[in-house]
Amino acid sequence: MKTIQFTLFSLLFLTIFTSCSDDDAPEIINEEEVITDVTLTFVNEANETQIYTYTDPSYRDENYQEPVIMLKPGSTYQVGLQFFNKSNPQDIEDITNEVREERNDHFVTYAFGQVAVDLTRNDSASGIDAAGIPIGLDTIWETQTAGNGTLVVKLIHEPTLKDVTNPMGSFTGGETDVEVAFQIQIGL
Amino acid sequence: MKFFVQLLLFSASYFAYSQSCSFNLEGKVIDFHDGQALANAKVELLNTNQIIYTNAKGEFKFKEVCEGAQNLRVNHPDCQELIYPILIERNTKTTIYLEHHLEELEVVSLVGKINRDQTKSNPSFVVDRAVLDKHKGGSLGDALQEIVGVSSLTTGNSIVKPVIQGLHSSRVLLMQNNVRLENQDWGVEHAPSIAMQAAQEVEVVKGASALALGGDALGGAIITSPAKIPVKDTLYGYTGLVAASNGRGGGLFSQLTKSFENGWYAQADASFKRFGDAKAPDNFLANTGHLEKALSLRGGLNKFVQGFEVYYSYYQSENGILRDAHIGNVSDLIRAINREKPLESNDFSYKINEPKQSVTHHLAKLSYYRRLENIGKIKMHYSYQENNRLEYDIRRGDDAGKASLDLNLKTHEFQTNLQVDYDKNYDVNAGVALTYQDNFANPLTGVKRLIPDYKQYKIGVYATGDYKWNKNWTAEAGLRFDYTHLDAQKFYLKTSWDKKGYQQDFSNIIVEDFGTQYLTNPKFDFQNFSWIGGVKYEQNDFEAAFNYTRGQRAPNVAELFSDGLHHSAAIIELGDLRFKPETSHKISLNLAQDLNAFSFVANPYLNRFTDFITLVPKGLETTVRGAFPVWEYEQVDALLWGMDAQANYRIAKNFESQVSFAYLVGRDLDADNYLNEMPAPNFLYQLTYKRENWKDLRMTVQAKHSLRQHNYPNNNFYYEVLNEGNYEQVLVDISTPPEAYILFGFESSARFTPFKTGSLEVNFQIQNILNTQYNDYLNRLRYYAYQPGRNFILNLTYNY
Repeated sequence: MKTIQFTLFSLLFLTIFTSCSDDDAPEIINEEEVITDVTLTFVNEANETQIYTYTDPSYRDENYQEPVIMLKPGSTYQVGLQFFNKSNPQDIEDITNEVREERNDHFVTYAFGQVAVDLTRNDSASGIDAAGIPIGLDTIWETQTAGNGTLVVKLIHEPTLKDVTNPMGSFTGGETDVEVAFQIQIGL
Repeated sequence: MKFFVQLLLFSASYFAYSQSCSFNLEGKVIDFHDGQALANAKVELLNTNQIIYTNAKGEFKFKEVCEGAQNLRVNHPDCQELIYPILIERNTKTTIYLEHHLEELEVVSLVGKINRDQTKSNPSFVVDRAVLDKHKGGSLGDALQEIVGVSSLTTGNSIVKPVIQGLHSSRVLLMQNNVRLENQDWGVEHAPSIAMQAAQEVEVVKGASALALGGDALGGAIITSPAKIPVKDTLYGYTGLVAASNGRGGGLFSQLTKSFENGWYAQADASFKRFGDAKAPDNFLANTGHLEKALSLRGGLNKFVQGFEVYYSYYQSENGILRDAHIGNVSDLIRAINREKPLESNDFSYKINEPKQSVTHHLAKLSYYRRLENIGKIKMHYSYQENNRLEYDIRRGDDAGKASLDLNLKTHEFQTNLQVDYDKNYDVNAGVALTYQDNFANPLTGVKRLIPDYKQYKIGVYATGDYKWNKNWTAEAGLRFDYTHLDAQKFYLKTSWDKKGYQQDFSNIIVEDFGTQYLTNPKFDFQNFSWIGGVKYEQNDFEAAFNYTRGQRAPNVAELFSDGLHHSAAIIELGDLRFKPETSHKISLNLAQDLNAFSFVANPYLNRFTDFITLVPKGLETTVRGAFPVWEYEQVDALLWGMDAQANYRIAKNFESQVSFAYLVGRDLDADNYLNEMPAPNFLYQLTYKRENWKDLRMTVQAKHSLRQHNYPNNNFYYEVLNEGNYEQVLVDISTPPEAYILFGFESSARFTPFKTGSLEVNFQIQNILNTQYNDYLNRLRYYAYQPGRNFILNLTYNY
């Protein structure tokens, strides 16, 4: 009895171990959905372009430096906001297009700390949702006096309410897909 | 309760003449198991009117038995009737074997009945069919809350995880029909993949003392067992229906059993449940519906000497997660905590949208047992389980509707157990358990794996025994050794790899460099030793038991490998590859007295841990998605102590009252602080009116009083929020436990016989009668919504 039992269980165990011991390496996942980079592109009246990119701390390389947005007081800028997935450096993805496609489910808000900027929403048709709300991918900034401060940009997914009474934008519900802070220096 | 009957016939020396009806037939009836005489067996000599009951020594004697073929009919209350042919040519001596038949378990209505199947010195508690029936519309976790000292860790209203004396998840093991359930139990928001409808009873062992099941159940073991099937020709079953007002849902349940006198049997059990959005007192809880389907089939042969069973069970569930609880980061959490609840007035819906979980579990088992004469019983089984867990998040673009987590866990297990119980004073169990497990994390989710691909090999060897050295004293001891080998293939983002300092300690496990990520091959060998020792003293109605259990648990895959955002909790969780097993030393005392009108059980305990693995807050981390609290798994010294107590008192003939109380304190000794998420002290008061001769009527009013948890760690933190151009420090209160609450409930049941055969059981309940608005400390979603409000439940079961 004991021998039979022992044989049986060793057989079983052997079968299990041998049949499942193929060591196939798992496939790498480059996250399709993650946003690693947030880019602000400024075009001034003289048609000069400045680009600032915030990269997620997990995806920064050794050369990364915290961006500081340098603007002039009393000036007007056309500002474009873009989101990228650079988790796979071989296949950089522009997430902004997805956000535009799903403009009904997305909303961008801006908040300035310690600096005064007048902001208006300047979205093209691809950035205006079914309720007629410009979601905030394209904006026009008018800087006021000189000063140092911060800008917080948020991308909200599926808010229950979007409010642009104040063009900076406010909302309820939803969850935050992007929330980054940029340093701003408005100087001469 | 394993009887075997042996009939021994002694011949008397006697002169036999040609007259044929002059022989003597003497015999003795003996329990095959332990050699004890079996009194009161009815022995009938057929074709005569002679019936004799065995005496206290198990003996009987027939006189003037005729020559030739005769038949004896032997009956015993615990045994199947046997017709035994015997040829009488002289004074004859023979041996007869009677088969033991399994009696169906009686339905016992006392909750928390003490059982001693698993350990003698650390009694377990049982919820039976009646209690399980009452919770048919709910979950296993709901039903187990009826046992004092067992609480629930919930994620919303439908994901309910049992907590035993403050411990849960990987520290609590679940057995389904003798197989250890393998179902990603590391996750606090992973409810056990088990349908309780098919279970006849559920037994809870507090602590790791059920060594035959595993030495790593430092919290305890939950053992669900199907009904025993009688050895007789019968066909029976039940069909039930439950309907609940809250969630506007219900379920259908049916079970059918066919058994034969020769021991063959077959049973089928199926259930289906569906609920829509639950309702808090003032609003619907959006996306909290759930769906559950379960099927189990078993069949086999149930002979006394040997038997086998083929078993298969299928479980599928889908759970919506409260929509309002889906948050992105700390700013969202602040908005959620500070906003008015509910966020919006939702409409009722049955639809389960993202975020949601979908879990499928298959279990197949082949088991065999054989009783060995003068030894005991040997059991063995092979089982295969497959658990597929899908978690769906709210996703964007092409990924919308695609699962964010897709884990497939396959487990093969072989186990054998030898029980030696031929001597009534000894009971020895020894066994071996072999497990092979393969986890596959599907890369098609497009989301970084939360749990990596791994293979795990486990060998467990154990021996336990108890010895009853006199009427009053029983001693118990046990030892178990577990060896675990874990071989994982894990990707690490280079940034988090460096942050944990792995480059110094583990650079040798890097397999490949993928630019931003490393593929690594961590391998672990864990050796765990667990042992128990205990004594029990019993006298008349009083019993005292003392137990010491040392249990050891290898770190689970989440504790080792977590390295990122845990979406449903909006926290970053970091595991550690350096972990070693955690060890628990638990002493418990169990006092019980059972007098006629009064009974009580008190169970004080102390559980001292070394290397207790717990999440510790480590500040905030900023990502592109905003800030997240970082929680790191750490190993600390910890102490859990408390007491469970319950008393029953019969006030009058038909009135019974019950009070239970559970109190627990958990300390992190390294940080000199409390442990997080320990159940608040709670009372349960019940008053029951019973009238058995009036349709088995029972009516119970119940008050559940949960006090406020004062012993909690303060993990609150401040976060800078930009408000009107200026930064403000905002307190993020994630720690303060909710207020105390009292919930009133009513339950009534009766049994009718409206048809010729069978019976109809009707059960009606009201939960949260006053529609109290409350929150529970152990609800992970307590920041976002209140607990469900009033609920009317009607339960009809037709037994046939």
